[in-house]
Amino acid sequence: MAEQSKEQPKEGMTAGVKATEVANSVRDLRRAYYGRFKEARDRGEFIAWTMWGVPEEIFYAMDVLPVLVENYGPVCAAKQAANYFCEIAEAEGFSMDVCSYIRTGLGIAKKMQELGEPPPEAPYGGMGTPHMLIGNAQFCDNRFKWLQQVGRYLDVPYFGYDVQEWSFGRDHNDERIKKHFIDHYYAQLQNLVAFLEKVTGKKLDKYRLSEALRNWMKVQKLFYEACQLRKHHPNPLPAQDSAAIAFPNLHMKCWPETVDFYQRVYDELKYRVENNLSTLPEEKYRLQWHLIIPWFYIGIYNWLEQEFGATTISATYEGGQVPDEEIIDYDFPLESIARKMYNKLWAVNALARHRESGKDSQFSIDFLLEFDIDGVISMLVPSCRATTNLYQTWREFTDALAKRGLRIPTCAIEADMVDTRTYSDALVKERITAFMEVVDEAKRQRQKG
Amino acid sequence: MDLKGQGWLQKARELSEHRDRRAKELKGEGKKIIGYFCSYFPLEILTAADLVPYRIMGRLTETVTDAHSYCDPAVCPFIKSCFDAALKGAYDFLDGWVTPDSCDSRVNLYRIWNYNRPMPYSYWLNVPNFLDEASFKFFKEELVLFKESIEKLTQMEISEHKLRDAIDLHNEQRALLRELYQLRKPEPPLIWGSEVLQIQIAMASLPIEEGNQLLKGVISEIKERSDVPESKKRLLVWGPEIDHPALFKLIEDSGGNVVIDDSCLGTRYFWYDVNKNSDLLDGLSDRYLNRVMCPRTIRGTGDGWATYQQDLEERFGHIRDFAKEFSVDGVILYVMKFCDLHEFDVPDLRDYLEKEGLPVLHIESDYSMAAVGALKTRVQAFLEMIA
Repeated sequence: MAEQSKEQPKEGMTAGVKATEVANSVRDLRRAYYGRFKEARDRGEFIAWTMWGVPEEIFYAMDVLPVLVENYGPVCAAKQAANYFCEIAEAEGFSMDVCSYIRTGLGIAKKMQELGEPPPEAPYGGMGTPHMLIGNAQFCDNRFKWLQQVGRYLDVPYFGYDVQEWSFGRDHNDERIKKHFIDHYYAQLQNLVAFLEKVTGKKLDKYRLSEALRNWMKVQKLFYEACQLRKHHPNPLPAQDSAAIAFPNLHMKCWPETVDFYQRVYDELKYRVENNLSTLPEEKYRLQWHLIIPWFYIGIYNWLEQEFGATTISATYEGGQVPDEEIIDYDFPLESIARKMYNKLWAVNALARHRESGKDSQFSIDFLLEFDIDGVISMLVPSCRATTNLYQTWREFTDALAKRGLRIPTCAIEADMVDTRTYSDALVKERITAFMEVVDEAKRQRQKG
Repeated sequence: MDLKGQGWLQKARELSEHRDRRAKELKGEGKKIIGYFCSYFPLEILTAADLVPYRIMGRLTETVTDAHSYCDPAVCPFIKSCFDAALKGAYDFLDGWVTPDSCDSRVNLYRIWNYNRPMPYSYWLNVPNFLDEASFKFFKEELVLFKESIEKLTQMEISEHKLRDAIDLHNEQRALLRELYQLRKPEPPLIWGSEVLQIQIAMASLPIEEGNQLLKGVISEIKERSDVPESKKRLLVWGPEIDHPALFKLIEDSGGNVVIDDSCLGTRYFWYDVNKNSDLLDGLSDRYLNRVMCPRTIRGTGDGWATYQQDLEERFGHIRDFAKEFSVDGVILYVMKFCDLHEFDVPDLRDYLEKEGLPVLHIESDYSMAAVGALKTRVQAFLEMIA
C-alpha cells in the first residue's frame, strides 16, 4: 500500500487559481526557502524540525533554519503527495485517526531513515535533514507528541517547549495570573536558548534577537492591516490567495525579505481596494471558511466563485492581532517575547486561544459582522482533535446570534486537511450547493430588514 | 459504611455496580461531592477540605444517545459517554466538577459541559506537558491557586495539618493498593484482574477513609479465600481509562488473567506516594506532575535534551519492570478510538516490548459493549499464540 505512486487529484478538483501578484510570487519564495535546506549542512547551518508557535525570533537570532513539520503537510497535500506519506506512517502502525499533518511528517521521516536523505516524492526537495527536533505544548497534543515519534526514525536531540494556554475561568488581566503565565513562558524561552546554544555551539546574539523581534512586529502589523482590507467590497484577497500568502508569515516571519513581502501584500491589496478589483464580476455572497482548509483542493474557492459568485474569506492562517506596543522593549527582547505570548490573539489561528464559552462566539460574530459574512463553512476533520469541537462552537454561535436577532447560516462538511481518502468531492459540493440556497434566503431576509 | 453481613469482595462488587449510591447518601448527610477526571488531579486538596472526591466515569453498557448532538464524531468515546451520562442527569448529585488539562478531548469537554450542563462549581487545572524546573514551579502555583479556589468554595482554610492528614490517608490507600497488587504475583494469582478493577471502581466512588476500610477488608478476605483463580496466561494491560470489568472478564473467559496494568484507573493512579519530607505542596507537585506515567507527559527532557533511546526508557522502562515483576506472558495494548496520546505510543511501545521478548496484542475499542465483544476472537487468538 505504501509503495503506491503519487496520487492524482480527483476529477473536478482543480488547483487554486490566484488573483493577486503577491500570491503568485509565493511559489518562487517557497522554492527558495526549501532550497536552502538542501545545502544547509554544507554551509554549516543548523536545521530544526519544529512546530508553529516556537518563537521564530530565537531561531533567526541563532542562525537556525526552522522547518515546520506540521505546515509541510499542506505543501505535500497541494502537490498531491500527502496520502503517500500518510500510508507509510500507517504501515508502521500509526492510526488513521491521528493528525494527518503529523502522519505525513512521520512517513517522510521513515523514508529518510531508509534512504539516508529526503525522499524524492517530497515536494521542493523535502524538509532537509534535521540536527534537532523542537516541539511545543501549544494548541494541541500532537504538537508535542510528534517529537517522540519522529525520534523513532531520526535520532537527533529533541527539546520540548512548554506553553500552557488553557486558563479557563481565570481573569487574564489579573496581575498575579499574568505573572504566573509570563514567568513560565520566559523560563521556557531560556531553556530553549540553552538547548540551541548546546546544539549549535553558538551564543545567543541579543542584538540579532532584537532585530528579529522588530521584523516580527513589522510583519505582524503589515499582515494584520492587509487582512483588514478584506472588509472592502469586493474582497481584494480571496481565500485561494490568502492560503498562499500565509506561507512567509508561518515559515520565515523574522526575515527582512518577509517584511518586504508583506509590504507588497499590503500595497497590492490597497491598490485593489482603491480600484475595486475583484476576481468576480459581481460579488453575490461573502463566505467565511472557518478553521482548517482543504489543502489538497484550494481550487474549491474558485469553484465557489464560479458556481455561486461567492468570495471566501479564510482567517485561519492570517497573522492575528498585533501585540500592544508598550509591552515590547527591544532592549529586552526575550522578556518581550514572553510578554507578547500572553498579550493578544497573535496566534495563526486566532480562534484557538478563545476556548471559553461565550468569548469564542462573540469573537466570531464580531468578525462576521465586520467582514459582512453571509454564511460560514467549517470542516469536520476526523484527524484533528483540537478543532473537534465544532458542534459546540455552532451551538454557542447560534445562541449568541439569536440573542442579537441575527441569522448567519453555517454548514459543516466532512473532510481531512491533507488526506483525500475520506473526501468525497461530489458529496461536499452537493452539501455546499444546498447550503448556498439557505445562505441566499437568509441574505434576502436580512436585506428586507 | 454498613456491610450488612456481606463479604468485602461482594461489597466492592456491589459498590462498583451502584457507584452513586454511597455518594448520594453522603450528600444527604450534608457532604459536598466533587466529581473529577483523570489521575492527574490532586485529590488530597479535596479530602483536606472535607469534600468527597468522586471519579467521573462513562457508562460502557449504555448506548450514547444525547451526547451525539453536542460532541463531534471524532471526540473520544469515553468522554462522550461521560457527558451523555451527565446530560441524562447521572451526575446531578455532584456539587461541582474538576479536571486537569490532560488531553485535547478534556479541553473540549470542559467547554461543552460548562455551557450545556453548568454546575455550581467547576475548575480547570493546568498541567505542563514537559518536565523541568520551570514546569514544576508553574504546576506548584497551579496547586496553590486550586487550593485557594477550594478554600473559597468551602469558606474554610486548608491548614497544613489538614493537608498532611489528607496526604497520609491517600498514601495509606496507595500502600493498600500496592499490597492488593502483590496478591496478583503468585501463580496462580489470588485474585482475578476483573475483581481488582471492580475494587478500584468502587474505591473511586468513596471517601478516602471508607475506601481504605474497604481495601483492608478485601485484602484480608483474599488472603484467606478458598476460591483462588485457576492458572491462566498472565497478562499486562496498557491503556487509558478502563472503568468497566467487561474487557478483563472477556480476557478471563478466553484463558487469560490481567495481573498488572499501566492504565488510568490502575497503577498510574496510585503506584507512587506523595513525599512528605519536603514542603507539602512540593510533594504534591512532584507526585502529580512527575509520577503519573501517562503518555500525555513528555519525559526525558528534564535538562532540555533527550534522545530517542533515553526517551524510550523514560516512557516504557516501568512497563518492562512491571512485566518482569509480575511474570507476565504477554501484553495487551488497549487503545480507545480518537485517543491520540495512546495511539501515538503504540508503534514504539510494541517494538520496545517485543525486543524484551514479550508478545504484544494491539486492540482498539470505541468504548462500547459491542466493541468489547468484537475483540474476543483477537484476544483468544493471541492467548492461543502465546500458549
